[in-house]
Amino acid sequence: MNSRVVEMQNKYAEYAISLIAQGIMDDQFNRVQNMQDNSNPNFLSEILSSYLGDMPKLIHSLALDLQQQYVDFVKLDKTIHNIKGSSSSIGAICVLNACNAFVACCKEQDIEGCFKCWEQTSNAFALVKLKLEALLILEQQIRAAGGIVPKPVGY
Amino acid sequence: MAENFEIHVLAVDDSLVDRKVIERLLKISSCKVTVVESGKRALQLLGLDEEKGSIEYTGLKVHLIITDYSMPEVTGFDLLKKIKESSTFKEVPVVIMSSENIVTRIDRCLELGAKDYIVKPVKLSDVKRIKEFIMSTGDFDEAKEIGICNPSSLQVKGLSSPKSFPSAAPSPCIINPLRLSFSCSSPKCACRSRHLRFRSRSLEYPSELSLP
Repeated sequence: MNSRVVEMQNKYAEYAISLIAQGIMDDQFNRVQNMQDNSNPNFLSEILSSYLGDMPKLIHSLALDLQQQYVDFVKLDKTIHNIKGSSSSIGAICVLNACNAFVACCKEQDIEGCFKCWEQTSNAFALVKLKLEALLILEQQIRAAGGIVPKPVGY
Repeated sequence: MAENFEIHVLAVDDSLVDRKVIERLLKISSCKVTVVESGKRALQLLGLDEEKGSIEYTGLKVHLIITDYSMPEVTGFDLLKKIKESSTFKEVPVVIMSSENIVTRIDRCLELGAKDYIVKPVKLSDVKRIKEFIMSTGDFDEAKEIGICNPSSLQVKGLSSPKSFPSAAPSPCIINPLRLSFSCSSPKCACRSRHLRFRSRSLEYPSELSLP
């Protein structure tokens, strides 16, 4: 077995585990990784790309909504709910947590609090984006070298 | 026959990420999947969209409908209601998915006839459990598989009472071998067009009819 491929696979596995250890992703991310198999080898990159592609628009629209003269908290809540849902589905726990705090500020109609929450949500997403893109690059490298992407054990 | 039988699931979710997840989980569980992005689209596929009427009916055969609760315009709850009000699809099990674990919401859905309420994120174990439940309770059968009308919607001239029809799950329209005329009130049933076809030809109804 190509030792370079083995090295990359180990790096990938360690990186994926570290995301969970750092509280950026959670157990759901392990389950999502396991949804990929030989018949659907691109599932992970597809779903993560969908997530990473969709969220910026939503986060941006939150910023615009918060800057309106009369903030529509119902609309805000709906958008946060969307971000929360997708983040929960892929296991991006840090974004999910930021969203929960955001929902609470919305309920209070606390605009200042909402601004802070927006920043936290935006930062959490930026972190997730950075980490997942790095992971996907590692995945590409493994494939390019003819290896298979490791999956978490026991899922 | 049941062993080769694939459960066909209609999945409804307005979130792209969630659609990908539920589709994948269902396929891993060996289900045939149709995924749509709105309650309105689901109603159209089922032929339950009032605006479009029966023209758009695709003859979709489903054994399970799994839908997100929070969707714009037509919510999962609205969809559940329309399905339970429909004579064609009211027996099809409906499962609600939601990221919110709200007891009153769960109760409402179950009271309206939802078979289950899953709190997201949906896991493979959830899908497997639902599939097993459907297979074990025999909630699917050939009649629903071919999307045939409910016999209680049949108006048969010459027969004294509808009690002679099975009152359980919908079964295929039965062409009476004694050539009594009939008309099925469900516009979606294959029997209706067949009836019209034979009427214009003034031929005997075949005593055994194979349905499409």
